[in-house]
Amino acid sequence: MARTISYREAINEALAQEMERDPSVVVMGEDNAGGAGSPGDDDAWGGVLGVTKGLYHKFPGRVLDTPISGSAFIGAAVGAATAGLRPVAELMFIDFMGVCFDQIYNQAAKFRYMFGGKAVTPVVIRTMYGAGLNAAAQHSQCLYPIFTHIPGLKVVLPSSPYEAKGLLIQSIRDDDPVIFCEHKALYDTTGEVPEDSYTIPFGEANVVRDGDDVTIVALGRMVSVAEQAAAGLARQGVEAEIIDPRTTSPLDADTILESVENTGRLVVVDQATPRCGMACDISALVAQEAFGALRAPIEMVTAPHTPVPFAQSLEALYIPDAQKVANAVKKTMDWKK
Amino acid sequence: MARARESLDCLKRFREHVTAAGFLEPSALDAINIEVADLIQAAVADAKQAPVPTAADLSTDVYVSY
Repeated sequence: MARTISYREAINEALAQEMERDPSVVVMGEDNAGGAGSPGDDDAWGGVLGVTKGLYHKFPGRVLDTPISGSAFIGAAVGAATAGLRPVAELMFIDFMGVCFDQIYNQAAKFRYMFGGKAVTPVVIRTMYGAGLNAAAQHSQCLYPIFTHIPGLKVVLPSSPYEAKGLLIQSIRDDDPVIFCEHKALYDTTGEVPEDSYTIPFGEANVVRDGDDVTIVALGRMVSVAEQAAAGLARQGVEAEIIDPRTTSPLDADTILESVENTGRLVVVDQATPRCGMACDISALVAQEAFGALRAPIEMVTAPHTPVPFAQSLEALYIPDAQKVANAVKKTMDWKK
Repeated sequence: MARARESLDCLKRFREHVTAAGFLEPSALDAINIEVADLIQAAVADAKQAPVPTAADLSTDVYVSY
């Protein structure tokens, strides 16, 4: 039965159900149990945003507080995965990937390939990304394109509580290293989530909204922004089809291409900075594979090529919003040769 | 946690170490603390009375030149 819970609760429930099902699943990260010296009481933090709250008592010995050393505990998680565990490590902010990137891109991502298909590294790295909470330039970035760039990694961007639970369970069961990217502005959002365990397969995009006039591909938190824009556009007689790719690696190219073949117009909405990002990647895909179907140039709505500003007024300008998406859609609708 | 703050705080330990070793007088460290606190207070006051940044400020100070 489905009930309304938050994105945070959906992730917690996915972890609890998988830990219940499979004793090899362990959780580790800074303050995941409750902080150094804490007995992990139920009122303890459960990570900086409370995502792992309550798991410590339910699963004794399987929720580990780690030192503030991404390099050490991400390395430990990767090593534990090669030795038979299914670790879910919480890298507090995606912005901190720099201190543990070797363990991810040059170790975890390469084991399968370099050991001739003999190694499995079923590690999940949960990490928080994105702007909107006034967390400034070092705690607000959308760095998933960097992970998407690396062959051997799978990259997941859940856009709602339902997506978060199903995609996290899939991530834990997957035998490849998975970077599970949680947008920090989504933790308190709520939605209907089934109580029972379920998985959402990787590489299968979700068509969030049907429409014949324009295809909007939106990533992570931008899905709800696209929905908001589409509601306004519908009142003006423009029906947008919204596609949530769910995973950037693997990417469901077919669903995007089929949609553009029908609508003839594409707007990609991504909160990441524009150079070498998913907006460019998806635009290139469509330009190459569906060029004949395009009735207007592709539009990209992204952050500008700058760090995330601290000033709230600037951060609001930085993040793509429904108005910017609607403007981009109108540009494709009004375009004349 | 309180015990950790009392005994493990690296700033406190630095102060104890350098004063015990005779590298610095406590008064010199106190002066630095006061100077830094004043600097922060002035910076916060400046920021609060400064005009709200505009869209043009989004690309300020990203590069020296671009």
